[in-house]
Amino acid sequence: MIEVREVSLSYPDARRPALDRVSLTVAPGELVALLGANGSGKSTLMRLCNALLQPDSGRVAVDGLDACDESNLWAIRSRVGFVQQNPENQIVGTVVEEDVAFGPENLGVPADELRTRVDQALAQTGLTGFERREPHLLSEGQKQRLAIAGALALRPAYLLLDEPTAMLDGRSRAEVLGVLGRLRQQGVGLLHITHHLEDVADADRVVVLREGRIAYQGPSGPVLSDPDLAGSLGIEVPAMARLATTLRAGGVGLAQALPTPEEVGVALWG
Amino acid sequence: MRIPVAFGQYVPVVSPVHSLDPKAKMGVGVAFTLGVFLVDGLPGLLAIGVLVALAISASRVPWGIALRGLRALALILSFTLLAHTLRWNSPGEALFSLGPLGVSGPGLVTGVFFAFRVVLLVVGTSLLTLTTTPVELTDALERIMRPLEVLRFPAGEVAMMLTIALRFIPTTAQEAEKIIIAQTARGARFDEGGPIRRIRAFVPVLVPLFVNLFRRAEDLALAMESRCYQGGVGRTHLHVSRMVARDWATLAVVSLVLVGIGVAL
Amino acid sequence: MRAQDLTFAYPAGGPVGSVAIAGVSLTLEPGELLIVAGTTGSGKSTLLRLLAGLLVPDEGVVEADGVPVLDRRARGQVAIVFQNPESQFFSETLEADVAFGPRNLGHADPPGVARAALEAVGLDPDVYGQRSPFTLSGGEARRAAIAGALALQAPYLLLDEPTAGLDHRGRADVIAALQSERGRVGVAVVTHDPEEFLGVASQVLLLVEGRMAYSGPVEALLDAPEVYERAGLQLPDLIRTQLDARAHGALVARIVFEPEAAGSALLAARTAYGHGAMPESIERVEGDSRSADGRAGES
Repeated sequence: MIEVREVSLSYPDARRPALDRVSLTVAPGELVALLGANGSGKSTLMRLCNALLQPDSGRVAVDGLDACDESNLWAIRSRVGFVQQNPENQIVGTVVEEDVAFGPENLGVPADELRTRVDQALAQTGLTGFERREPHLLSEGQKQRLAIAGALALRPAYLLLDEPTAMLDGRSRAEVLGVLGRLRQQGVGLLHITHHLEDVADADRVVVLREGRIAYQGPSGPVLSDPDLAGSLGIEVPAMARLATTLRAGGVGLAQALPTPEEVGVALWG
Repeated sequence: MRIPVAFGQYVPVVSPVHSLDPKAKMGVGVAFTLGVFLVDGLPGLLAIGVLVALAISASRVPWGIALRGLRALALILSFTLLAHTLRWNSPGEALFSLGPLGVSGPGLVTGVFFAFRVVLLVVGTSLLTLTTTPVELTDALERIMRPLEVLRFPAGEVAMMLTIALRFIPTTAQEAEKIIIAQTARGARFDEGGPIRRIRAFVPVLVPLFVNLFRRAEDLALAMESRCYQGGVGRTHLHVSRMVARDWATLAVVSLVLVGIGVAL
Repeated sequence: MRAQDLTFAYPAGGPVGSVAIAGVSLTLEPGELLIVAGTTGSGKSTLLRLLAGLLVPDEGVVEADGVPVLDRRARGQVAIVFQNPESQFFSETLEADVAFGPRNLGHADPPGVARAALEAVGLDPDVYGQRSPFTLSGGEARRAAIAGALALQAPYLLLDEPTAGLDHRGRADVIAALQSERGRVGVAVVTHDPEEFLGVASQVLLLVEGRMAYSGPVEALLDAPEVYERAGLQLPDLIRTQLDARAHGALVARIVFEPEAAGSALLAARTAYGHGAMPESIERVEGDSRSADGRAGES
């Protein structure tokens, strides 16, 4: 379990704290979505979870390990993987398999186990066969999956994802979301920052930050179906959710907050 | 957006040269350079030249690719040759002359010697990069530099820097080309005016390139820390290359021959 | 702007993922917004470069107002904005950066044109003009880069994925900026997710593996969604819902891109269809569903 308890953090020369007494948990197998306007503190909060940042006050612990204790640093970072927005700037190796091996190499994992981990991580991200490919010859979606594979090679229990699909087109986005879905089923705990509520509509919990504080924490349903709530949180409601709200107001019995066209069809025409 | 294929880039072929341990190849490379500079005259260079030719054919790299680097050097080679060969107003040494300009016999020999030496060095050393992948090279460099860690030399970190630099060369080249095209589309011209004007024309390309490089470095540092990079000590490697008898034997024999030629001829 | 039977193939060693195009034709008038859509690898970016005169076609010709774009006289006729254009910033102030283009073209008053361009994209030149371009947010930077192209005052504006990587406010701002400029320029937008542009575009050109799969108005394309799907693109859910309604026999006269309006239209269609909850329309339902045309058009 990633436990963030009452953390506060201020950047130098800032008008207000980046985070103000924020608490959060992520359990194995959970998908926790983290939303909020730019500057609301999402990335800061995420970086506390793998000890890239230290809070000014409050406590962060990963599976009981205190993140403020320097001696726990590498243990925490091998349990909590981190994937950023820009696929290009996370790839270190000159060929795919070398990059995936980077993480466990840093931990001194012996050569034969390195091979196993690399092959497994590539399989988990659908990149088997790309071992000797050079990174600049990959598509953006493949690069981002490579970044995820690089994190998976450490065998983390949790994965932090900071807008992993922001720079990807529709097809690549679907690829990456597919990988994340499978990882969640395999029991990896995911903390997913995104602006696309539709990508995380099935999250166990949606956490919305506003100006460094938690403005909402709960299921996605209420945010999807209440335009006033979404508006006050600064969240863009996906088109199909807005359609659903309009239809419900017109008397249509539609259960899903974010329905598919098929589900709408059934509700409308039987 | 052509990815620049630098001369000397790895050619993926199976050959006895390719499968030699990179450290052995580097050792041979040092001996080769030593031999070439120790040689006194053309016969010695020709002898080494024969060895280089044998190495190229053993490596199964196509000759066209092996010699590709010479094209860029054509100008320097011609200049070297001419500088040594042509004499002004010294009729004594001339083989034949055209007015004050004479072709000197001894000069010709010296010119060919120096020019051929350059050819050998370029072709010989490029054989190393043609038959060894960048990963193998940086790993080999790291192993070789490892003893220097006793003197606090950060061998692991230097090798990591080299790897990252190599990894980002094609990416940066792509980016530079994109920026050039974007600025061209805004009317920028890179081929107008004198040298100073032309250098200043590149400011709109270099500034964005460097800004992006710094941003890239920051993101990459974050990614490396997240993946537990702690410096060079204690890192294992996916591919480990060990020197075996064949490698040592090749290193010893070939190095001795090369240096021997250098001393003798 | 006119392109006729464009054919082009990169000589061996073209950029990663580049595709040849064959037999592509299009026209673009000021006031129009053309979407060039297709999956990655359909040749969209190649086409854009040909239109901008950055590539020489193997066959066919591209003309802007009668002048071939490859001609020197066409300089300044076509402005192009590439992907992630914010990476082209290099000046100390935003005004200076936006003025780069007009200055290169020998314009009489580059700062004035730059300020006008910043206004056009919704960035107040008095507030943003003297700021460093590197301090802008994602959406602001994108709009500023587009201003850099608008400052060229070209009658034709080409954009490659102008909304990629932006959050929804950034995307809305960019679309608003393009809409405001549309009056005096012809705009062509390359995109692989045409969702947000379908509502504002006048024409669509679909590319599949370098060839035209469709060229014409948006409405007609929505009447033939299979073309869209064969191009490897997925219609937005909102559109599919309305097309499904038609397939069920309900009358949805015009496909709408705004969710609330679509909702109202579907509710009205549902009422006319006979599942409506309003008792007073029950007797009329039978008759209405026969005389299809007029009624359900109201929404």
